[in-house]
Amino acid sequence: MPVLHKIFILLFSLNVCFPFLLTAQTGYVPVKDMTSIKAELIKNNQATQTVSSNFSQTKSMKMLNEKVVSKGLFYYKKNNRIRIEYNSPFHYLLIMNGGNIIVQDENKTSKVNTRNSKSLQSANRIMMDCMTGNVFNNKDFEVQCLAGQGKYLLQLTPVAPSMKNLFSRIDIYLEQSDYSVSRLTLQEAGGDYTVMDFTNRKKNISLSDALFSNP
Amino acid sequence: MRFFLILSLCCIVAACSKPAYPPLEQAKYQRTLHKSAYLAPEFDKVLYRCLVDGKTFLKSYHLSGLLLIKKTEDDAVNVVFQNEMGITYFDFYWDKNNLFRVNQIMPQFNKTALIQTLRKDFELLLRKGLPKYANGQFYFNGNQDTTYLRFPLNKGFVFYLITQDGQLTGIENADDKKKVVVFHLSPAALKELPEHITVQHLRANFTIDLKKIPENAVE
Repeated sequence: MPVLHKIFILLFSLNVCFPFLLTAQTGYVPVKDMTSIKAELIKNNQATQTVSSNFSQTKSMKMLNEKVVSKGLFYYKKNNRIRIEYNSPFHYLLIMNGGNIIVQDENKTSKVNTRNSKSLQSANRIMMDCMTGNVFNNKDFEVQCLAGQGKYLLQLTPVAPSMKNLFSRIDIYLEQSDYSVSRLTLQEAGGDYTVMDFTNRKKNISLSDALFSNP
Repeated sequence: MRFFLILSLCCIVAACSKPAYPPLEQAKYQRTLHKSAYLAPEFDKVLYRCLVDGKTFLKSYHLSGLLLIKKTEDDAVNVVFQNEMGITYFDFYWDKNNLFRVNQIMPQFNKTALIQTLRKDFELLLRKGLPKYANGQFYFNGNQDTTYLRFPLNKGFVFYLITQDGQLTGIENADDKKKVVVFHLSPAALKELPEHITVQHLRANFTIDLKKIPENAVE
């Protein structure tokens, strides 16, 4: 598997796992004591068996004044299983299941074992951290927490050089009511950014294991 | 002595190798094709689903994403390739005088040879940097259905394959000995960008597959 592909999956994982990030925004104020939030996140994630939601993704290109919109479905199932399924304007499927990553586009399916790849292991760890509320311990990012408008906003600023080359910041919005991820913003160093909005969010509904196996 | 024998053998094999094309047959001259400006596609923006597959000595690789080709108001052109999550792999730019610039590129893509290869692909597709006039119109093997319109390049030449009813069906870049890059196109009028494009890099051993996405995906 090429390095680029690994990086892509890492980025993808980061996006999915860190939907708390946002920059200084109106209506949000810094949270001074994050202890209780961390504890609530862990408690919430322990109680979360499954998540399903729709998502709408908009990539904004600053220089070109263009937006590209994609839509799809997101699924999570304990432990460590995620399915991201793009339906529009193309079909693309990413499944992370334990140490395996499966990618399907058009008619091609690729399966990767992460055991031999530190970057992919890293991606998996990030995913797990996110689902267990442990994002604050990731050394590749500085995490700030803000609150406002019924949400928590986690702003992840990269400190690792490899991440700095790609992002200026990742913002994850969590609903204060149930700690579900409602928005993810990924800001690139060049000024472009991608926003993923998660809607129709459902927790702890029955999800078949087949969703997370080889399609 | 052994070295010279091997070298001689290699030279003989090379000399006997099959040329990239059969003997040229002069096609009926079509004035509507002789200027490169007649071939330039007209578009505002086009979005393609993009799949890249290749092989090295050690392994295969696969990339996918979206490719946006956009003409800006000042007649410049941007070509942006991004992954499904919206992360930009590269953003290439040509100004109205066809001067090329890399606006943005992921470090792993930032290799001179790769940039030049991709740049040439898009310049051939968008008919940028061609000489003002073609230097030949040909048939091959008696097949008069397709005219091979030839433009000289700094290295080698390029053929544009045009049917009798004016549809572009292929682009082939070659030197005197071998084809280097072959574009298979779904038939399209010269002024349009095709719905489906497959770019085969015969030496670099990778393929780019592009399928046009409906316009409503771009706002």
